Amino acid sequence: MSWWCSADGRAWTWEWRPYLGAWLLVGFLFAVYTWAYRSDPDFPLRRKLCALGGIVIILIATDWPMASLGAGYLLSVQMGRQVLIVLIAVPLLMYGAPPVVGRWLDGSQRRRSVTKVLSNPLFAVLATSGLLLAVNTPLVSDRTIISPLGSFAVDFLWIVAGVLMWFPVQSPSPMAPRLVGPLALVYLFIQSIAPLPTSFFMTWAEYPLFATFELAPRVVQGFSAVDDQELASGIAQVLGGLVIWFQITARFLHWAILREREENATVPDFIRRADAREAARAARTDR
Amino acid sequence: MRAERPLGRRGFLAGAGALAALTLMGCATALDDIGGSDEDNRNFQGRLLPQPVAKPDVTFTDTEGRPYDLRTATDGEMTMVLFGYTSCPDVCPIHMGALPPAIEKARLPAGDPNVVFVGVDTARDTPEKMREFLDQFDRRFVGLTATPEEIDRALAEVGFPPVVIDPEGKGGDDYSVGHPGQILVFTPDNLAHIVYPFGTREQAWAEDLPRLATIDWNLA
Repeated sequence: MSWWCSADGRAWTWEWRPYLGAWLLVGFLFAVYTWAYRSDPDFPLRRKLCALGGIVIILIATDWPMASLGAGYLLSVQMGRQVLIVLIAVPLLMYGAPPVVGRWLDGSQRRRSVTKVLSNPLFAVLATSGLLLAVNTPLVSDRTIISPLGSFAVDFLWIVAGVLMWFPVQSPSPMAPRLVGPLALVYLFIQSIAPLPTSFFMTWAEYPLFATFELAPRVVQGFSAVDDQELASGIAQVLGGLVIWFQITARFLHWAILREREENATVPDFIRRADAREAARAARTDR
Repeated sequence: MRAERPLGRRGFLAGAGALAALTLMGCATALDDIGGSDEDNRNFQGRLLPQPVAKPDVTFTDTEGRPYDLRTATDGEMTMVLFGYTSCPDVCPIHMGALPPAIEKARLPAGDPNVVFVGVDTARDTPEKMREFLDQFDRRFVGLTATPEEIDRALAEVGFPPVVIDPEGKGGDDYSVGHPGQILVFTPDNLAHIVYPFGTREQAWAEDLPRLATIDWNLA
């Protein structure tokens, strides 16, 4: 049993091969989150369930069969893993982060400085794009996913990229500046188009870009490495884009509803003054 | 109480970058160099043979059951030969799978090269199985077989080691076969000057085939 997925060059079989490291990771996350929730019994259940969902998605993306296929055979599955981890699991985990995390982040001037940097949208766009570009280049990918340690490093950096990406809009720290409303929407829109240049390379490349996937034993006969690469690009652009646009839509609707309530809850000044004059006139008439 | 210095932005970024670089560098494993592209290798991405070898003087049997003399059937034509077996889990299907798209992209003026697959696992490589195996890549690929002795003689003539049946698997149907993983490329002069090991990528084939089709080895 290997502790993490990697490209081991063996022919693909549907024999179950769990990865000990993946189970230890989710077990650790589950234990930490559960223990941390004890400090805040009023923490909303829906947020806890979101965190649980994030943990389950982490397990799906890092254990057999998805991790095996992604790390060793199919670039399209590897891209699917990246979408799951970066765009779905990490924001769920951040949304369900126990309040003790936020209190810890606010606990010292140094940590507040760090959260301030992480909350900067420009930093987040550049850092996320740069990190994902570096990790996904053939030069790095082909040299890392051939070993369990290298593949673990890639997956870990995906988690880091996810935290960097979502921090400006989903910070667990209540004191960190958070983008809301139209600014959050613009930020997420920019994040949705930042990886497009990389995806275009995969779509239009004449040859397979990644030696690992080109030279891997075929899982589906007739599905070439170039076909796989084009599908991977589609997953990154379309599926990844859909996930972000779902977030944009949900945040827009949430902001719009809150804004509408705000507008309707306040009485305009000119009506308040008119009501006051009317009340005063009525009082004089009564006397 | 000791006053805490706020972490500078530069320090944080430097630390994060160092961590990422160390993580990746610590896990990096250099890939084997598949083939040299230096002047000694004449900028080919395969490996030049110390001495060119002729096509084996063996009459094989094709998937239609007809005799196939490799020398006369492919005389004067570029021919690529792989000694493999249809039950091969990785080397043979990957090696063969890279050829069709590479040949298509190479667009050789003299036409597509002959691709010949010699099945060395005489027990399992029946003509039907060979045809089914090759058709998933290209119906024009030629499948050949012969007796074990003739196959070993052909391998010896081209300088390859003999076939080795996995001794642990004898008696059952699930055994592996040791065979040369290189593809021999016979240029139109009917000699193989170069071999391509397993791991040769599609782009390497597409770049080398046009040069191999027209090269004059006496002048190169």
